[in-house]
Amino acid sequence: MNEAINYLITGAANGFIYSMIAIGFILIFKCSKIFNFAQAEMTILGAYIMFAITIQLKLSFIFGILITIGIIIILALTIERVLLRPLIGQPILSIIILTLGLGGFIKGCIILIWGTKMLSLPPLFPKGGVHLGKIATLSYPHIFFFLVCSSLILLLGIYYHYSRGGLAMRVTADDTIVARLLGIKVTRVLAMAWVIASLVGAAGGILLTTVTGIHYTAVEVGFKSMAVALVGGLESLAGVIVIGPFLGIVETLVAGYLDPLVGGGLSEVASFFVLLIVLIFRPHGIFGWKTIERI
Amino acid sequence: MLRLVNVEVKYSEVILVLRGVSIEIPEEKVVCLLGANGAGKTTTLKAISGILDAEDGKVTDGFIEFSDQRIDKLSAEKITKLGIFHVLEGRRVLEHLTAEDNLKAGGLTRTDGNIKADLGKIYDYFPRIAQLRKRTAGYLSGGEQQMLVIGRALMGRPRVLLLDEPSLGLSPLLVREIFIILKRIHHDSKISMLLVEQNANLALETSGYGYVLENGRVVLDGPSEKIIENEDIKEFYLGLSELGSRKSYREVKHYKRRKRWL
Repeated sequence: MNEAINYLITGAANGFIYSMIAIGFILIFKCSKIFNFAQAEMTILGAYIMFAITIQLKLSFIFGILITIGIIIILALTIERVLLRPLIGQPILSIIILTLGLGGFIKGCIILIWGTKMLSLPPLFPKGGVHLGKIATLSYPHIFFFLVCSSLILLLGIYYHYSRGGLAMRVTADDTIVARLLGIKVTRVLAMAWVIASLVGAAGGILLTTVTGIHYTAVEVGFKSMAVALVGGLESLAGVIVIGPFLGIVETLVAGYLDPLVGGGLSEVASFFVLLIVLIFRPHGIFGWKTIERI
Repeated sequence: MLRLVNVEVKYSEVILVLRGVSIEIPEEKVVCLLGANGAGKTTTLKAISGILDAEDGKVTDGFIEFSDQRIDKLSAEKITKLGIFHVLEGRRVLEHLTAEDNLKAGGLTRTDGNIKADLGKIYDYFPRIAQLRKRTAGYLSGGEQQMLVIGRALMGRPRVLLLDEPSLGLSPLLVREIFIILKRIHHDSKISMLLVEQNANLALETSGYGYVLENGRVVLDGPSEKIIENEDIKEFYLGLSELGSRKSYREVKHYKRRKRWL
């Protein structure tokens, strides 16, 4: 029993990180119908940059965060300006393939610069955790995951629903031509979406790798988040917040109970299995937009 | 104030849609643009508001001027910021946003903080929208959606309003209602309007000056009350015979009038 509760907590905590990274997919998709395959690589890139600053350059943690944010923002803006803008008006598919290539390029650069060794960030959180009675333990990293992710998601939600920039983003998501006719600079909205997506991706990557260690295969976090985005529905921010912890829990439960029986590996595919099942029955995801049609 | 001079528009660099259109919309006036399907009415509006590029179209000759500034090379969002608001054909509401958010989106270009007051004004013109403000716009009825998109454009405090077939697909009663409100808006705030319509009668009643477009050319223009008297317009746009009565299609075979302007 204790075990099960701990699995739930771990799963939900990891799941929140998936949710956060998945928001990146969704923001970009909503604004431009582009499914950004490079999001997965952006995630670990954040962790590697953090490693370079805090371990290789020996700067403090706070510096590390600030400089990483700066680099990621510049990178996202460069991608939007140099790679995406020339492709405006081209078929969406070619842009999606471009993001695929971009992802491969980033991954290649990472291997070129940092090699394939397992690296680790300085431990951010003390070992141990808070005991909840006798049944469960909330470890410090997990508490931190909850706090960081929920506050970032909340901030994004407020931005998206209550600010002018968010309104511009929602208008663009709905109809780009109308957005332009209302005086919204669509390219700027798209740039903003890329910046936010890359930042939440990097944040998720840094959080997770403080626990798991940094290795280029950690891109799978990005792929799991992709599953979260697809299961939740590509248009729904709220859906992602629910589905992330759900898939996280599925994953840890499978890892805890089924993996020992079959010798491991099932947990890696659990979320994709759920994805397949959901897509068969609801191709637009559980909370995705059904196109509104008046009859 | 807004002037098109010999504007020529090509799509994909081959399809010539406008062949030298010259139109003028004076300050505080309503001008209507009539024409059959494919005459180039919508293209004219798109050329003004700068969204031709989305369909690979271009102004290839002539120019468009707004208060002595050339705007045919400007981007759509810059043109909007100058105060030219284009209400697209076919009630393009932002489907997934609430009615109120739709209106707020119209005020995004504004930097003054009077959005609230203007919302009140729009709800005053369109009381029905006020009742439905929290409703998702995609689920509103056709008439409500048309009111919503007009209201959305008004939120930007336009100097010129380009209206593309506000009567499309609405019941005659609703069309009347919308045109009465349009007249009221014009009476209150003196916004210039360029009205594109298939409903020639209504358009000519509402406007002070009219242009008739055919095959990308202006074939006739003049004060609306003159145009309404034109025999060809009566025959081809208003469906009236010479006596002013409704045309009987029994006699169509015997006598076919030719357009005199061709």
